[in-house]
Amino acid sequence: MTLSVFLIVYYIFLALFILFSLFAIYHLVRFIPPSSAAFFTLYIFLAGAAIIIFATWQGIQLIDWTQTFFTLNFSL
Amino acid sequence: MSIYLKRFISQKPYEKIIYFLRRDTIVFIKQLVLFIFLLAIPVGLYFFFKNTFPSLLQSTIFYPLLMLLASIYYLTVWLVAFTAFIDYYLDFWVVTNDRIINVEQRLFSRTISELDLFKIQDVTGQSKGFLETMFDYGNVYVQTAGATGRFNFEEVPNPREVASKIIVLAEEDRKYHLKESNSTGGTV
Repeated sequence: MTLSVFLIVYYIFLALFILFSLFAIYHLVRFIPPSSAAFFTLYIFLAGAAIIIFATWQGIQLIDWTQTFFTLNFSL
Repeated sequence: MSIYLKRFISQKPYEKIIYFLRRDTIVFIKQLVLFIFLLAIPVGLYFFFKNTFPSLLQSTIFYPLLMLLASIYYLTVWLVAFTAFIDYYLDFWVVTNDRIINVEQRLFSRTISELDLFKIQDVTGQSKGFLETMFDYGNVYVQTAGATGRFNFEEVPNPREVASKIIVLAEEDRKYHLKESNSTGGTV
């Protein structure tokens, strides 16, 4: 089994993160007045999420995801 | 009434807004401190592992795993903090001279409930614990005669003042409804 399994799990998490973020942003945009300071929080949230994802990408881009960490051996 | 409030409630012609209440700011600050602490935990763990198990951070298997786990952790805390802010900002109570309106927001639900002031039987303002007493915030419990039971304002500023004002408003509203029903010959 290669390390890319971790990456797949991470991508699934990212998809869920985006889905839940969209729900939260929808509520904020729908129910808060456009001039409100709450929109500042939306920018902070988006900037923070972008920084975390960018930092992760920076940290993992040099990793060889084809490395094996677990081998299944079925031979008797 | 502001355009913002008009999205949630339709104001009657004789209705005046007495209170627009959210949870006290200190409640949000308390949550913010907790989230800052949660964001600092991986940094502490990083230095712990760096000093105790330095080989673990250089391992070709554990390093990618830890990087991804840290990213998942930070994104989760970030999203929960954002949701907590929305919950804080979009939960509010409006007290008018005719009714109380409670707007409650969750990630997948939004509840708007209201209560006529003349139905109120008992109102209690309560501050419990060190922080609530220090910063004068707490809960206001509104008891009605109906089966709906209690109507709670959670962690609002000046709970005792709000409770006394609601009692006065409820009494005035009861008198108004009594007068109205007497003039029309009906019952309240």
